[in-house]
Amino acid sequence: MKTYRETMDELRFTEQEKEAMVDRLLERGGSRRKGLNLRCAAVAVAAAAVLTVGAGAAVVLTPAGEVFASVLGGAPAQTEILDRMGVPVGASDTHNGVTITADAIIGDAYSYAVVYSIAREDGQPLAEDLEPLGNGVLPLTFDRADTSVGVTGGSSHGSAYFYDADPSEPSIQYVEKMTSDVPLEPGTATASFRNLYRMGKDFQDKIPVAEGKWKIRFQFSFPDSSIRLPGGQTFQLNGMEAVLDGVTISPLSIQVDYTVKEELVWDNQSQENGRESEHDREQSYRFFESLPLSLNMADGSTVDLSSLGGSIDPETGRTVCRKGGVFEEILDLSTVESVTVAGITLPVTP
Amino acid sequence: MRSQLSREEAERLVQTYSDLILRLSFTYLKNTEDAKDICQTVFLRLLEKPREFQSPEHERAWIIRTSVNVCKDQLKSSWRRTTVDLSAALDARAPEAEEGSLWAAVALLPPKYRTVIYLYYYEGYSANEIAQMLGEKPATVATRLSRGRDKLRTQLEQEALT
Repeated sequence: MKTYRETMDELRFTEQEKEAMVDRLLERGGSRRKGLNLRCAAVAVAAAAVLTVGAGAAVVLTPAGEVFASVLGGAPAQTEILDRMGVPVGASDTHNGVTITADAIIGDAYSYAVVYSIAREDGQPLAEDLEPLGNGVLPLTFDRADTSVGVTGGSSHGSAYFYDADPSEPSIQYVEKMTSDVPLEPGTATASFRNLYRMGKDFQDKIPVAEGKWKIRFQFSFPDSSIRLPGGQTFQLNGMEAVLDGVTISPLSIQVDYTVKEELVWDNQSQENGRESEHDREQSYRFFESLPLSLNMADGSTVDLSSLGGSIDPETGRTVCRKGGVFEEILDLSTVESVTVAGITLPVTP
Repeated sequence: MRSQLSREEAERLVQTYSDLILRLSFTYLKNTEDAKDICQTVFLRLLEKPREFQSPEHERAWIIRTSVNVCKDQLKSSWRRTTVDLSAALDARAPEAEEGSLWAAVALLPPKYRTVIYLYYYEGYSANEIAQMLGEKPATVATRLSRGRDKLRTQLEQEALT
C-alpha cells in the first residue's frame, strides 16, 4: 500500500500542463508585445563573458556588449549601444573555492542590469549535469541575493535568473535587471550573496552547490542615455483627473511618472494575511494597471508596455504613480517614433 | 507595483509552486479541477499587486497562505468561476485512493485537519511556521495536528476491524 507521501507525489502537473499554465499566465499577466520582436532573453547565446583572475595574472575585462549580448540582444546595432552604455566591472569575491565576479553593469536614470559570473577556482563545473530549462534558465537559487545601489528611498522591481553564456567553459552567469522608483545615483554598489543551491526534482528540494557568503563592492556608475520627455499634460484615468509628470526613456528602459488627483486608500488586508481584498485589486487596477502605455515604432508597429511594473504612493489628496521597467532587448531609440501614455503622444527625438 | 512578467519568471513560478498549490488546494477542496483554478488565481494575485519578498522562503510562505485563503473563499462561495480555458488545457488527475490507506483516511478529515497534516508531514513545516502562514495560533495548529492524528488512528483502526 502506498504511503501518504507516495500518493501525494502522484498529484502533479505534467510538463505540458505546466507549459500551458506559463502561456496562460503570460497572456493574462505578462507583457503584451505587438509588431516588434522584443524577445524574452534567449540566454543560450554563446558569449565570451570571460574574466581571468589569478595570482599575478592580468584581469581581462570583457566588453559590456559581449557580456550583455546573451540577455539584452546581440545584433550589431545592439552591441554598439551596449558597448556605449555598459561598463565592464571585474570585481569579485571568493569563498570555499567559488568566485563570484561582477562582469559588467549597464544603466540609466532609473534602471540597471548587472551580470555576474560564478565559477569554481579549480576550473571544475559548478555542478555536475546542470541542465538548463527549456528557456535556457538554469535551475539555481541563492539563499539571498541583494544588490544595494545608489538610491535614496523608493523601492525597486525587476527580475534575476541564472544562465550559461558559454557552455564551452565552466562558469555560469547570474543577471539582475532592476528598475527603481526614484532616480539612481552614482556611488558604490554592494552585492551580497549567500549559499547557492541547485533546485531539485519538482523544484521542491534545494541541493547545496556552494555554501558561503560573497560580498562584492563595485563602482555604480554608467553613462546615462536617458531622454526626458516633457510632461504637464492632463488626462482622465477611469473618471479621475491625472497629470502626466513626465516620461523617461533610454535604450534600456522606460519610466512614466504621473499623479492622479485622488487619494487611493488601501484597506491593507493583504499585508496582514496575504490575501488581497477585492477593494485593493480594484484600486490597483483603477490607478495603475489600467494606464495604457505603448511605444510607436518608426516602422508603424506598436509595442504595448501597459503591463510594466512600478509603484503607487498615495499622498494627501493625490496618488503618485510610476510605471516602468527594463526592455527585454536593448532598443535603438532612433527606431522609436513616440511614446503614448493614456492617449497623450510624446515624440521621441534621440 | 506590478512587475513585468517575463517567460523566465512565469516558468520559475510555475515550476516552483504549481505542484505545491495543486496538492495544498486538493487537500482543501478534494477536487483537482478546483485546485487547478486555485493555482491560476494564486499566480495572478502574485502579479496583480506589488510585493517584495525577503527570501525564497518568504515567497513560498506567501504562496501557501494565499492558496489557503483562496481555497477558503472558494468553499464559501457558491459561485464557480468558468475558467474553461485553463481547465481545458490542464489535466491533473487525483490519485486513486486505495481502500484502507492513510491517504484515503486523511481525505475523510475536515479541511482544517487535512491542511495542517499536509503542511506538517509532506511539506515539513513546523507547527509554529504553519501557524504563522495560516494566521492561526501555534496552539491551534498543534491541537489540529493532535486531533487529526487521533481521528486518523481511529479511522484506520476501524478500517482494520471491518
